[in-house]
Amino acid sequence: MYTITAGWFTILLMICCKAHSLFFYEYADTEMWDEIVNTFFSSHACQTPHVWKVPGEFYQYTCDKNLKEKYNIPFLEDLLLFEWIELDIHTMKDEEFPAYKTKGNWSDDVLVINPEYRILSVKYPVHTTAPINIDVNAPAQYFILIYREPKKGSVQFLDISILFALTIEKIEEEKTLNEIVDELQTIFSFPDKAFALKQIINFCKDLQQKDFVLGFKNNSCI
Amino acid sequence: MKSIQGKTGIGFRKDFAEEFLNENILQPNFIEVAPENWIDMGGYWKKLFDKVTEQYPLTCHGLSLSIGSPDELDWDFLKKLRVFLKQYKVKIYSEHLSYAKCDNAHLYDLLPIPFREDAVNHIVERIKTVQDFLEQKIAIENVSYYTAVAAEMDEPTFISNIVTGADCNLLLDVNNVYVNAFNHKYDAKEFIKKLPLNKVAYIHMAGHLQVEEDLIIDTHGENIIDPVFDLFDYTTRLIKPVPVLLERDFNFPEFDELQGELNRLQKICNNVWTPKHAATN
Repeated sequence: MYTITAGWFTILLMICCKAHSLFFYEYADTEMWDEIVNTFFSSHACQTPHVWKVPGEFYQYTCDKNLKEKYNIPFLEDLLLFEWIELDIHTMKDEEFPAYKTKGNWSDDVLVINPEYRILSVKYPVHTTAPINIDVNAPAQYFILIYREPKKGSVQFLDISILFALTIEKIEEEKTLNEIVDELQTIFSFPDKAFALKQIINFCKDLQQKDFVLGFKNNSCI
Repeated sequence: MKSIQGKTGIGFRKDFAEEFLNENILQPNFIEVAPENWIDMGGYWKKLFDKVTEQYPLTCHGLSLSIGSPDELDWDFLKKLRVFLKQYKVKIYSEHLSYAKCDNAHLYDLLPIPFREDAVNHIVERIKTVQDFLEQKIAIENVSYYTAVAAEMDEPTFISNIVTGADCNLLLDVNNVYVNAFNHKYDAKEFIKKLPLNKVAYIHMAGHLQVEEDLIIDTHGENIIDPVFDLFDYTTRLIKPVPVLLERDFNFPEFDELQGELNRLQKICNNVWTPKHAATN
């Protein structure tokens, strides 16, 4: 949508969409990109007054219009979601960080995690593979942990398994790792629960190094 | 923080935010932001924004209020805006005399309002409502437009009726006057004289781009040309000292070039707005 009244504002908006859907922009040919974006701006009733949030509406629009089928790009929604969530996590309002202590018992204390995160479930490895190299005939299940690193505000991505995705979900529910292994036993049928617990603890220790696991619930705050 | 009356400022952009904070080349007396671009922000950008607003007085120039729209005001946004203006002790909140939303869609553009009495009445009520809610006066800006829409009165009358009826302030965009006068072939100085000059609370200055022999576009992406500086000089002699903003939104030159423009604007302000003017305010 171009108007002569304030074309510079519209141009800035197009630049915003391109900047925050960069992988898709580079993958699509110019004609496809122009068609999709121009149709979006001319037909979609944008709701947000914040220009930086428009890529989120753009992603939802591509889902609603099933553009992945129209343009035969099976990974389109995954790619745009990934790009939008990166922006959203980087820019989102500050969440209140819970109180925590840095030392505790990994098995029996409730862990405290960075609240500024999302876990994405996608069918194509858009986070590890350039769009041109994605095998569209081999969809699978991928999980991506995306979070905002507290000190510098940079966005970190981690490819994680379903086991660890569920672990994080249950940490959010304030379960201890021991309790989590017991619950996940019913899904994964661990042949060796102690080994599974050790693996999960190692995963969480690694996340602590990466500033996603912050520490242990400070029970004195109860 | 010091008064910004009669002082020059610049739009604070993410494009050059770090250099602005780390280098001392660009030295405005205040900064301006679009509140829509900073509300609901956290992380890296919020830290940076908090740092810069500790050092500089802040004005806000909005983009989405859509004061001329038939749509309802966006109360969710207004609530956030009110918190933001108070949190950052914003000196001036201004918006465009245009509309940016219609049929429940943000258009991300600044579209011209017909210069008509029903439009005046509609906008006056909306400005009053907004001012009551925000608990402060707002400044409404004259916009550039490329085709007049079903006008029943001239633009100065339209603006005057709104500013008087709503008891709001006027953000006088001198470059917009120049652009419109060029494109629609009228005398810019005569236009300015007809405005409610006692209501001018803020000035914007910017560059434009000549795209055709008879068409210039208000781009905010070029240096200010001499005739616009001359028009600014003329305007300052008609009004009391107010803050003056240099609007540059993209195509940024080196900082020393921007500072050069700020210096030139400040020199005009200093020449015209003597201590005698400052004492009466």
